[in-house]
Amino acid sequence: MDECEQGSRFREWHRRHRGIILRIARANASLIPDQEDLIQEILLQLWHSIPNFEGKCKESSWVYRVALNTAITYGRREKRLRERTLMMASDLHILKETSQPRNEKLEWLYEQIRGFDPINRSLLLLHLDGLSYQEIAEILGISEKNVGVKLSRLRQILTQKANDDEL
Amino acid sequence: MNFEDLKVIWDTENERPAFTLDEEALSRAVVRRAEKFRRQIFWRDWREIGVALILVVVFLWQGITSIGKAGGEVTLLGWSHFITALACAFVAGFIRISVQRQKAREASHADSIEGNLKKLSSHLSLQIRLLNSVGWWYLLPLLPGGILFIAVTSEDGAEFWGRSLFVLLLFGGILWLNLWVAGRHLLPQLQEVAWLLATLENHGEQVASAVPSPRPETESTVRGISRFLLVALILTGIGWFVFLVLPDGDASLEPAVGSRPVSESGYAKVAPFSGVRWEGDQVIVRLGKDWRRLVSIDGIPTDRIMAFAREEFGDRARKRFGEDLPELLAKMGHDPAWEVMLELATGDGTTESLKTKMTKQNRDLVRDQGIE
Repeated sequence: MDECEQGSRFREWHRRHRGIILRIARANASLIPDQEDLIQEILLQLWHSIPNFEGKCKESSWVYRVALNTAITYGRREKRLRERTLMMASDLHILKETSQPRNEKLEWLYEQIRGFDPINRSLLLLHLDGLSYQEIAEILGISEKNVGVKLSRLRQILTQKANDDEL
Repeated sequence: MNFEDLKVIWDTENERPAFTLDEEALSRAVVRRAEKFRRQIFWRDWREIGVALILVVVFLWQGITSIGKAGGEVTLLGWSHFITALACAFVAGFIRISVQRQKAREASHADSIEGNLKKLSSHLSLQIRLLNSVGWWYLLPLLPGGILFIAVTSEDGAEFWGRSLFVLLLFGGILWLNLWVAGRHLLPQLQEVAWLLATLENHGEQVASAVPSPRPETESTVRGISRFLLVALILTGIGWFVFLVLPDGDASLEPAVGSRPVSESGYAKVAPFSGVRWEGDQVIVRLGKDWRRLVSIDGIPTDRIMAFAREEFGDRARKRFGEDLPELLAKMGHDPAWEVMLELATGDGTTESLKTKMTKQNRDLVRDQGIE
């Protein structure tokens, strides 16, 4: 695959799946600079992964895998990334706030998701994004049954928290 | 509120996103990072192989040069260079093969998040193993050549042990640093990945928040360093034996066709006579079984040589004359060949010239004489 083809596919994936990337970044980092840095990291990994995509799975599943893998390892490198972000912050502001009013309930939900460990965070994200158990199992590499058990517990915890906080 | 209500809240993110991406800035950043990444990979590969190859070439060149100086003979100094070149090639090959084998191992993992975590775990395990065993695959191969070099170039036992201990301490320090990095930085990362894998694979039970210790791959630092130093000391002992067998050190300076006793490598420890004594200011040398008065060497009067030696070396003039004649002549501006012309006094008051070969054996005999 030449660089031109890679670039064109990258732009296409970026356009189609930027929502996924944005949500994963927001669910894994609370500060805007960290989110920006994570987005860049995810897109960089996505760029490198393009030649390996053989079309055996759905394009969106591939994007989820790459993005979640990057986000899971992000925590380990958060400090280093933050230092780098601070260095680059002067000329890079890739997140633009829209005119939409701030949704407090959504902010609460993101905050709760960030409170889970990276694995459960990924599970919740995929579930909230509406992926089937089978798709989630394929992305995570575990059995559907395991997905079901974990999600049932996570749904319970999250609902309980929502009720406790009178959302 | 139930989970479906939360799902409705979540979906508002798609319908009315609070943030959007500045695509142009992002594209610039990704291209820049991709370029930086390519450069990093290029330099990493170059560092791994390039530096080792340069060292291999440098040591091979040193070894080949020493053969030239020794007239085609591979001396111990030459061997020390060749052994070090071989060690550098081994280290480069070991790193390369380890990385290649690791890549093959990692390729066998599935493209899922679980597969990625297993890849990461395998990668970290390899890094820890490499750091923990750095004494065996990196430092130890470099030691024989280094100790041999010290043995053949040291002037005396104190210098041999001083230099050897410095090398052992340096290598011990490098080993300690590697063990420290493995235990302090990489092992916690491996534990974290192991915990993530456990969280992924368990069926709903709460995984203990305390990270479970994975297989204890890190040897205790003290035990690791002690083992390495023990083997290193044995090698140093072998080097000491070589040093004792070759008490004059540099074996590359043996007389040989095409070379000179005075070269860039130093001064040959050779002499044209097997003994020397003084009668007043007169120098009497032993040639074979006979003691003869030495009048000149290569046309340079003996009294001039001794005057220069006294000026240059003071009280050690006689010792240096007997044991370091090539150096003495070189400092007087004369470049002697392996064979020198000795002018010797005869019984009838005349002199005779005798072309005599300077040998290490002669010089050893002079040294054993113990000139003060």
